[in-house]
Amino acid sequence: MMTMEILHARFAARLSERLVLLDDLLGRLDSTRAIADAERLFHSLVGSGGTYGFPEITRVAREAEELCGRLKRRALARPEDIAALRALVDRLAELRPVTSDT
Amino acid sequence: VTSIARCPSCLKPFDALKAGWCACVAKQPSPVCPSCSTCLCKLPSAKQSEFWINAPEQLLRQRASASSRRLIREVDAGGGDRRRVLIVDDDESIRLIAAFRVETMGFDVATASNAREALELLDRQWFDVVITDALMPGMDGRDLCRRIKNRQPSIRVIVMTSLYTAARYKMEAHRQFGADEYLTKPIEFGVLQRALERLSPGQMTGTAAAR
Repeated sequence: MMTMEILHARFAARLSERLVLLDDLLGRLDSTRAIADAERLFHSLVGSGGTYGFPEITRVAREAEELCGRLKRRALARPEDIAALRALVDRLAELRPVTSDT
Repeated sequence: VTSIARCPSCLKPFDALKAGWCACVAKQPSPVCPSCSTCLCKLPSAKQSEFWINAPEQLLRQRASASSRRLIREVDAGGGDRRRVLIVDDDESIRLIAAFRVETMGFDVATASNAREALELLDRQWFDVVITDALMPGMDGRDLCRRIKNRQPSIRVIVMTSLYTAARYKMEAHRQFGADEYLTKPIEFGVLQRALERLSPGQMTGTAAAR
């Protein structure tokens, strides 16, 4: 395997792990700590998505990060906010790169 | 995460971190079984993927370094005075790809997962350029930049952050933290290469980086 292939496969695997974590966090988004954790995970995807050549992952993750930022400031996540974040997580799952191993 | 591989031939498990590297695939070396000398290149592609996806970062870095060194040797025969770059980021995905790409530009690269680890490395080794993420848990990249400039002002520092926060930090980076260059994430490697060439003139980047 070429090194770049390995790096892309690892990125896809780590993205899957982060989406599982985000799915779990969205089920208990009842504290500013949980919102901050979700924001941090989205922030990480903002940086890594485009760096690996997936600008749409960066765009969707940034939208989610900004929404988390707003929720953190008002220390409240309403059901419609959580639904919006869940839709963005679903979108990120659709954007997950397909590799020979995933 | 595991560095334990199973030999595709004798089926014995071995620690890839302690194994040698094969030369059978010119630019993509794999660990060699210490018992029977068969390398992991002989594994089916899916098994290779599975191993590398779960391998520790250190092993992947060793492989990427070996791979990029072979690539550079091929292009810039004779080597030259390779400049040293330290990449600091709390995201393993970013560290790995940035290290590989910067190595293929012809630099020697080390990585750190946080500012404290970076400062420890800087105490022991010389680096020409430090590339640091701005936002990290604990001491962030801006404080790291300030500390480096206080201790070793000749080390050039590139601070990176996401576009979302870019406008706010761009001026701050120069005014308060003494950064030599300010770049945005996602990383554009062409932009990063030009910045490294500006900050580290004389580096033999050649055509390796364009590959």
